[in-house]
Amino acid sequence: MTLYNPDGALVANSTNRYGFTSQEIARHADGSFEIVVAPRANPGNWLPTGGVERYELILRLYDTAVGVSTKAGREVPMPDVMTRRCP
Amino acid sequence: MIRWLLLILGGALLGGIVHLATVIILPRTATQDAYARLTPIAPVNTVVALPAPTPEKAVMPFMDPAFASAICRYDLSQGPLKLTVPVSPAYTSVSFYTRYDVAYYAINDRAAGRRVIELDLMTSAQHEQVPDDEEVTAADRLIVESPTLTGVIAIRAMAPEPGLMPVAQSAVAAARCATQLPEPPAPPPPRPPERPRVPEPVRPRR
Repeated sequence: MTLYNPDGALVANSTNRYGFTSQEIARHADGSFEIVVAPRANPGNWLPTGGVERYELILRLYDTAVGVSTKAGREVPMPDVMTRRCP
Repeated sequence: MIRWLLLILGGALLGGIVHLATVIILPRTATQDAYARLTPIAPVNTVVALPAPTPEKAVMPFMDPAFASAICRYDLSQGPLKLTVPVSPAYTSVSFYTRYDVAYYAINDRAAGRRVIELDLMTSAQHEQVPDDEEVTAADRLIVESPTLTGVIAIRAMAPEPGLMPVAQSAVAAARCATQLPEPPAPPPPRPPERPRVPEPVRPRR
């Protein structure tokens, strides 16, 4: 999962974190995880936005055991996106 | 009335044709496509490591910061290309693009199934010239046909965490792509050295 500005460039931030790989991420006991995308530091997996207003999140699946193309769209659990609160 | 309808229909048809033609031609007329951007930094038929993307500067938009990448801009006019990519401990992939950035082939470390991804890239005309028996004897020889004479090969190795980035970078840096010179025809088997001609001794006449 990587965060870009709409032009496709990484967004500068104080921690030099531009995304998470599956190995870097902190998970719940059941293997699920949450990423907080926010301009200010948050507990857990914090993906800083660097304060930009518009950004794009790209989730890339490389060589996964579960093929998105091999199953019907409904059967593949896609991540949920929730707006927690506006700053 | 019918005349107006015909005019409107004709106009819509013409508009549709212009629209389609523009959409189809646009990628070919783009001056700043990936190939054009890579041309100044990448010599032909050589693997060049791409700098990791930073917020200020990235060679391509939407590059994955978790990957070490390199490219080989190829030109097959001199002959087929041989590509060798050592597999890094994590995910490694090699993808092939035509001159106009259409991806036509990709392979990853798992699909290759060995420590080194090794393949030959050639045009279909060059593939036809490969002798059949050679292909059969080298059963594990992987041949990829390029639909265009020029294009780009992207080599990517994943660094699952930032500390592993040097490992991924060194795997990518060790990749090689080079033109295979057409093998010279095998020299004829050495003939037995000719015996120096000894003048026959003059025999005394009887």
